Amino acid sequence: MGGRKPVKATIGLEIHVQLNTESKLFCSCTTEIDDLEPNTAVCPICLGYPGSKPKLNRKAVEHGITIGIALESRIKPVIRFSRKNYFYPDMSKNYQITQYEVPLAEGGYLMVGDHRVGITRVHIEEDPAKLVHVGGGITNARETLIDYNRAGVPLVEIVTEPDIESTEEARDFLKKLSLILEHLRVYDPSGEGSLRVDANVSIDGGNRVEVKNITGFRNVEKALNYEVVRQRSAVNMGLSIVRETRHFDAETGVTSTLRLKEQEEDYGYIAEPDLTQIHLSEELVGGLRASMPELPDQRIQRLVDQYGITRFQSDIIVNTGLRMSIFYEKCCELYPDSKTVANWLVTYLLKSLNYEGMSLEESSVAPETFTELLTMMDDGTISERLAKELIKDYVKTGKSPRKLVEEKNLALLPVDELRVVVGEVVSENQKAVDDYRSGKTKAAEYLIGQVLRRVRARAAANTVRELVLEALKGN
Amino acid sequence: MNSLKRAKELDQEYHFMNAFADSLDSGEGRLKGYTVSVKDNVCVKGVQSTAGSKVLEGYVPPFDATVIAKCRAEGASILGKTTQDEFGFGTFNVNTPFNKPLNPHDPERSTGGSSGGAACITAVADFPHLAISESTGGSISCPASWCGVVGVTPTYGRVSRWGLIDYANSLDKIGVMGKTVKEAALLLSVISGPDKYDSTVLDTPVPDYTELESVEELKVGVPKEYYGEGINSDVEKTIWSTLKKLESKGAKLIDVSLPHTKYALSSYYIIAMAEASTNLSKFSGLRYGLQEHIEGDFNQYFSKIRTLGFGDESKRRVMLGTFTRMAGYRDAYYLKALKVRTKVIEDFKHAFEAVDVLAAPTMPVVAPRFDEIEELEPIQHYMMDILTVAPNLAGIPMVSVPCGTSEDMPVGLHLMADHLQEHTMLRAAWEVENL
Amino acid sequence: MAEIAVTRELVKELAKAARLVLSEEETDKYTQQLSVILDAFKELDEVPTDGVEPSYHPIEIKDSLREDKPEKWEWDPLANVKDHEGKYIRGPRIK
Repeated sequence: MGGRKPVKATIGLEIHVQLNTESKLFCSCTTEIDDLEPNTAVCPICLGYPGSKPKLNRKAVEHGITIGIALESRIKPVIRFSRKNYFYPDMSKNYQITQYEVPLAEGGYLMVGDHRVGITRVHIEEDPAKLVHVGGGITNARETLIDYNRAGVPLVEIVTEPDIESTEEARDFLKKLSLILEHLRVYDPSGEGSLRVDANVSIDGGNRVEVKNITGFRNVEKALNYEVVRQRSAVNMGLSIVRETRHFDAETGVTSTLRLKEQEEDYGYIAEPDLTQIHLSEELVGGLRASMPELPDQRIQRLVDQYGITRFQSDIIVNTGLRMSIFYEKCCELYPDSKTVANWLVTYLLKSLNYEGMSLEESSVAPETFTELLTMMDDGTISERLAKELIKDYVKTGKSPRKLVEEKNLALLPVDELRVVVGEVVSENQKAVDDYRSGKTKAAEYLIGQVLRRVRARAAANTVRELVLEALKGN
Repeated sequence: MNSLKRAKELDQEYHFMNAFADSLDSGEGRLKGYTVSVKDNVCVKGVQSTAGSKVLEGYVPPFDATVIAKCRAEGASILGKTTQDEFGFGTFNVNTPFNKPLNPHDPERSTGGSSGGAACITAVADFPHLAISESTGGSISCPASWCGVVGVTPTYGRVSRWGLIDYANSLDKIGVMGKTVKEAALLLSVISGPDKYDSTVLDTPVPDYTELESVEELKVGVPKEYYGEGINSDVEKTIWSTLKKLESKGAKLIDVSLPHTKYALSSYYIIAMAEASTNLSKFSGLRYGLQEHIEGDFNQYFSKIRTLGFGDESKRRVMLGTFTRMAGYRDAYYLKALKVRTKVIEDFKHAFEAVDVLAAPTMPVVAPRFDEIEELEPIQHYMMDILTVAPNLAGIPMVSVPCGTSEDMPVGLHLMADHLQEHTMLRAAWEVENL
Repeated sequence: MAEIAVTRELVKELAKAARLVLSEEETDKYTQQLSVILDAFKELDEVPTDGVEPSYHPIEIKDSLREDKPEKWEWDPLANVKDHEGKYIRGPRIK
């Protein structure tokens, strides 16, 4: 889509991200829920049992502050929680404990390229339960099954100003935000539904439409594109845009009306009386500020300075994700030449991962085995050409390159064995030998090619050349 | 005869229980030998706990409230659940589909509420018994006064609320009732103190409240707003005669004023209803309590359960509470009430600079008859709490101690003290008891 | 305090927001009762509260937080549930 002109729109995002605490926001149930049976990581608190009371997770508050600091927001000295009241089957109490009047942080910004996107507020709240709509989607299912394992997982909500001007910019903003959160160690991008977005979209200063509950970057771009085009064609047909909330269906890529704005529930916020106010002291905030992890931009610069790689390489490594840059640095500990590591990582490893459609963490690629590949090239076990071939198998299978070479018998032939092959080729191609001797030096290339074909990738081209020339001289 | 069997006999006559424990377990500790009854809104593991509401019928809590765990640890036998107004919404213990208790001094009269069952059994038990009860706006003091027992409401946060089915969380206090100040003090000593499950509990050390002795030169404040208009003159006479006796024993009576008293009632009801209306949202026919065949969309199903499960007063309070926190009205009602609450607290703080306790009638009248109650409009029900809501709104401790009769019905003297001054307050109550 | 006329429409709106179904008779009754009660609440207007902080709790309570340590609650979350499918709890549909 490089050349296409972005469609102009006014977009504000509300981003919900699951914070990677070990326990839930208001109870001690585990947040490691991806592989659990339904309703097995629940207690009377997250199930909204009568008589239960919430108790706030310190770590979630600290994570929220860290995010606020990274976004240059003003951290509030005293925060409180509120009850946001609305009835819905995914809400165990039919209210959500969130922050209303006093969020954790206000203001701030994030640069996307050279465009500044303002941050309105950052606050923490509890995730609702997960609904399974049986026999249809949200609008036509026969019944609903409820799994409360997710209920109470801590979320941070980051609200932007309506500063985003295109769907592409929205995507870039989210990518950058996600990368920052990952670097802050507050968020695990691999978790199921760990990033969810509500988007407010309007065009030409028209009415604002809210698209709810979009999961993941790709869907955000899809949903926003659909919505902008939908609004554009409505306007072109002379129709007016209605203020409403729309639901995005990831399967069909289509948004549809959920409710009109005037049908919205009045949230009737009150202070959450079961929780105390929390002081975010100078000491606490200062301490977190002092121990802020390295942010992506800082990391890109450091890799350039420390490892002597190009800015282009560093950019790719860091932007691929925190795990990739940690992988890179680990490789540099194991292998002496950091530039070679970067070359091979950026050019071949990433290409193979992309080809397999795998992320680094989904693959079994590890620094120890990746550097093994480089070492085997250095010590002459395999040729560069073979290494480029081998990396595909390596990424696919996760097996150590050394093992792959052994299994497939791919190691370079010892010079003695190679000399025998050369001898055979030379004696079988008398015409080429004659040509060479009569001054057609190009005939040597033909012979080299024949040898290489016969041994496949088990010989370095330079060695073969030397041996062929030696044989031609000797004969 | 064991006390479970005896309690069941008495219940036949007075209707104070909603559920009995299967059996009585007892152990060693400060409550050894005592049977403890529990207001129905305090969860007891394995015993149906409804908070007096049909919407929680069949709900068997999977855990003990902290106060119950503490009682068990001190050797108490848990008897079962005492009846109450639905979720504590009432002053006469008539707002419930379950048992409506009868006043032991006159079965045609109310026990008071909302902890009516607790006061009733405390009055009639002829075995060692103590009651766990609960107050939001006067639900311990009122029935204690009308049934002639001692009822103690501690400072907000003195006792853990973990396991208490919420009415209004910023006002709810679990407290105690007993036949004597000393017995009530014993149970309060056991249940007070920190708890990791309640964020709003105070960690101030708990004294042994049973160490009771005379307070030298007790300074008793007499708030003018709690006497005169609206107070039955015979009730007031009984109170004054007690105060005079106290004075003759060396106490000093000091006139004080709590100028915002008049506004406490509205402030209290607005805050209580706003919080209550959100607390009751969770009752929607999923997970526990009343559950019907699931049909229709969620709005239809939730509405069906709530319409069926809530009584008239609950519906009224949920609607009023919803109103007071609606966008557009929230500042004028909910937030305003929270600010007026600050003024009410300041009144008390100011008064306690000069006095140890404040003394007033607990209730403006003696227990009314059921036929009289039927004639009352909802607002007149609320007005009945005029003397108890202010200290409840301020979260200060209070005790109603029997101090004589009027029309042959018990009258309670209400003693109120500054935050966390339970010990002084109980010593003053003990003094009154021994007059 | 804003002047508020408690109409049947307002009562219906409140009932709907609270997920309650009222009969016509009940609507009439609550309209009258709520009107009286909300009217009484207006007396708070007489109290000057400029610059007064709201009291969310009646007493100052120290900040209360827990450490981030997972702990499993040993119980059967389906024991009070009437309708479940396997370990899922059945709920009403959305629309």
